[in-house]
Amino acid sequence: MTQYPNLKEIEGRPMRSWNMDGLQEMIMGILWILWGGLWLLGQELPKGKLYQAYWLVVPAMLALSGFAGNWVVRRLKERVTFPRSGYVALREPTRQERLGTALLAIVVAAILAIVVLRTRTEGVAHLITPVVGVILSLAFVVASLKQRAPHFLVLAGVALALGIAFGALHTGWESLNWLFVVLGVVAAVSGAIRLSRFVREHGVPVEGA
Amino acid sequence: MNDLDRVIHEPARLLIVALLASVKESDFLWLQKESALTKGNLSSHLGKLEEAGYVEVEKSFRGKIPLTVLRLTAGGRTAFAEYKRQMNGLLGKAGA
Repeated sequence: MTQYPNLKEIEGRPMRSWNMDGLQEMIMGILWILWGGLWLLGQELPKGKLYQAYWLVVPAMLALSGFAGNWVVRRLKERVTFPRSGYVALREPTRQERLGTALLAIVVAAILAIVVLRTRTEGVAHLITPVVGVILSLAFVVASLKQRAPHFLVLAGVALALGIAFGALHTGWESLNWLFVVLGVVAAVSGAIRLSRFVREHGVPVEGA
Repeated sequence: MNDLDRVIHEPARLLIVALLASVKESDFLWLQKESALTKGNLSSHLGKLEEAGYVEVEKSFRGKIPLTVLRLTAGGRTAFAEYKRQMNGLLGKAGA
């Protein structure tokens, strides 16, 4: 071996390796189906005690679902991924990276707040779906470039197309919920396909590590 | 060029150090798959890196399966950062 490694390319490998099994994508998709689906279901309930109880429990449950999703991903990785491709723990983000993420979140929140404040109520409801579609699409483009994962570009295209299409229906907040449900189905199916390919291509070594 | 850290400068060890620098920790299997080195070759290079104090090796069991967890020490991270700084300097001079 005389060739020197490309250090820039190596930096992106852990994240690529982390997402190679499609588990993260699949669980994220299932969470989005839950978010959109439970919200849609709640709107169909007749007003009464059940409606009140539903809206008391479900938002809190959905808020915690992100943590539950992470826990499920970790447990599944321990059972499926690590025995096949090896165990890896991602590096903790540096202070600079944490600050950058916080700054980005503040900018996105500020843009959304400006859109909400400057538009009338029905206008916000009609704008929110395409805006969320664009934000999700950009997030997938960044993930694709950072991890050199071209399949995220497909999800970026789907998020953008769905955001515009559901936004054009002018059905208000319902569109946003449908965006999450359909995008969730696409992400879950794409993740499941990647997971099955990963399991097929990576056998469990006979000897331990 | 003489000031370059010879332990890290060897291509296979540079690959190992760069991989470990990009994660918190990994096991032997992950490192072997990512580096595409043979078991023996990887073990030998890890031994040299451990000897230099750059890599920490933790042997344990997950159930009945032996597990070797590897991580770069603080000294290893500093040495790698210094190596990159020196290389960037050299490449800068060569480009000038």
